[in-house]
Amino acid sequence: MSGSRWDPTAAHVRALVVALLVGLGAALARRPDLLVLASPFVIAAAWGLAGRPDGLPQARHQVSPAVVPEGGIVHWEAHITVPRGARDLAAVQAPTAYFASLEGAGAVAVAVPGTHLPDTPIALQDKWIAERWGHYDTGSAIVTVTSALGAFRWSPGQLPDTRVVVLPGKDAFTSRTGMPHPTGIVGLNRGTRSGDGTDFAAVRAYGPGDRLSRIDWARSSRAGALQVAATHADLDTQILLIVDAFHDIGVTGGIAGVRSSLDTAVRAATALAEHYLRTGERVGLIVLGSRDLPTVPATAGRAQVRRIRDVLAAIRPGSVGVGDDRAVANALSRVPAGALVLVLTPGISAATLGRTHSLSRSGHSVLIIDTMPPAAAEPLRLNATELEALAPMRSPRDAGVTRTAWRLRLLERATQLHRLVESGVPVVPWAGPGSLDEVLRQLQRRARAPRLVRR
Amino acid sequence: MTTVREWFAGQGRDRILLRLLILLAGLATTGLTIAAAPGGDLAFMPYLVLAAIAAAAAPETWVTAVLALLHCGVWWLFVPRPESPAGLMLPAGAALLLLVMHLAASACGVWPPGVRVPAEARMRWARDAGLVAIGILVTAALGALVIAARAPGVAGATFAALAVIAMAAVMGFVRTTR
Repeated sequence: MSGSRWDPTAAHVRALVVALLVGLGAALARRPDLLVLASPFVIAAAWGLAGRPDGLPQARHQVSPAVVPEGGIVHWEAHITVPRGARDLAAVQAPTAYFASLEGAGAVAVAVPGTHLPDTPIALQDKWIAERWGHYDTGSAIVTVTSALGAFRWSPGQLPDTRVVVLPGKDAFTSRTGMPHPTGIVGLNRGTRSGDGTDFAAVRAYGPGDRLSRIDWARSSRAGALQVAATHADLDTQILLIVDAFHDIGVTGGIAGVRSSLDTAVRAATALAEHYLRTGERVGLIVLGSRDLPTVPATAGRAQVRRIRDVLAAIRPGSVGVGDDRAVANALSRVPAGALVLVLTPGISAATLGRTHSLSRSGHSVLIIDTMPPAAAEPLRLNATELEALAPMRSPRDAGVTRTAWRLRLLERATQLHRLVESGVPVVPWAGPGSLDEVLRQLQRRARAPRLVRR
Repeated sequence: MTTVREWFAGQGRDRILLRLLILLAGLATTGLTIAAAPGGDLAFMPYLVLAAIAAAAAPETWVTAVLALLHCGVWWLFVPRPESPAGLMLPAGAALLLLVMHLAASACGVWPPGVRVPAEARMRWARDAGLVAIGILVTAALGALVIAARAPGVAGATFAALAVIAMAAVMGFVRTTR
């Protein structure tokens, strides 16, 4: 980008005005002492005029990389080609939420070296740390080049923003428990039907299609006929992650700070997806309450983690109303039987809890992962900032009313979650590794038992 | 609402130093003016102190120009014309302090808040300030020579000086706004 001209600064105008007025006074009053007082301004004005650069600088800038994980470093660079006479370069960057400068307070400066050749670019650089997942327009800055004694300034105007996608980081997560309804083709979970696998099922007579390596020769010699060791089939499961983005409860402090409910949900969803995809399951994703987000069909493979992180990074909480999202409703109606549905929610949205209940009544194994921040669950300990994050207040005097309203909302939430538990939907708080093991074991036991479902 | 601590942190160390320089140079110039003014008339002092504080608070505005003009005006009104070459010692000192004030305010316009001024730029600004200071001392020396020569004031010389100033003003305006 290029500005059209070098503009005089306030410093140069000051030097000119004071030099002219005081010099005039000195001449009229015949006062050599006044001439001495005017001399710094006279010399500064003359120097500034003499040092005005003739050519115009050229500036271009870039922000890289365009996709970065949470906690990753983003580089901001401006390359400015300056003419002879330019002395100092500075840039002030527009602040972007959750981007913290590592070098300075959003402003960088560099001096044109004395040995600098004209028309050779000079780099202004800064590094930012991306502190929170999401899509950001960042990198806008105002660059200025000044001449000797700060007399003239050139600026190309505001450099434009660049879109940077910050992919969510992942929490630690492991699970040693199998899935309740393995119904796929190949995986690591013991299926209900017999087939190729590692878990022993029974010894039976050899039949067409049995592998020769499965023949149990000891038993065959005793029985007088060929016997094979049958195994349970090792199958995969479809896991559907549902992220409730109707509300983002609590204060967020980026990757190293406190977490909001959506921070926990997004990082937990990433951890769950990565873990289960690594163990061979098929994982899909549906986001509730965020506009224009595609559903991610359940698929296996490493590339699925990236697809899921891309969609999670694009979440804009509360951007769609309850019942407005037909695509999501259609996707939920097509959840296949046997899928394990993991709902990550703070339990505030009645729409999410209602959909969870419907899925459970349709016979799916549904599990609610509670993402409510621990601080938000204790209304009496909430400070003004945390209350403001829950509900914008017009004045600090509203804090008492907000606190009471939040207490009532939490009581209502507890009742709703209790009803869900009573109807057979387990609720567990997100606690990282092993937090789902116990409840998954219960679901496995329940899956083996016969039950009546409404279809 | 920005707290004082946040404001200081946002300004950065270098910019705080520059503002301090403007304030101290303004106050020191006031002190020199008081020392040079006979009879100890201090009526002008509060205005100069207030203007120095205002200039330190808003160095990139017209307030700094007002401060410089105030100093020169007060000097003109309250300090008598020097009768000996030694009488230019105090004006030279005041001019050096005004130079410090002017350059510190100029630097505030060059370096945005929060920035760390590069060492090379600091050295170059110090060198430039030194060169202007030499120019001030040369001007004072020439003034001292004029006073020592006790040359009578002539209308022709005054008109010539006015003509030079007018020409310089026109050239300055043309080159500044081209």
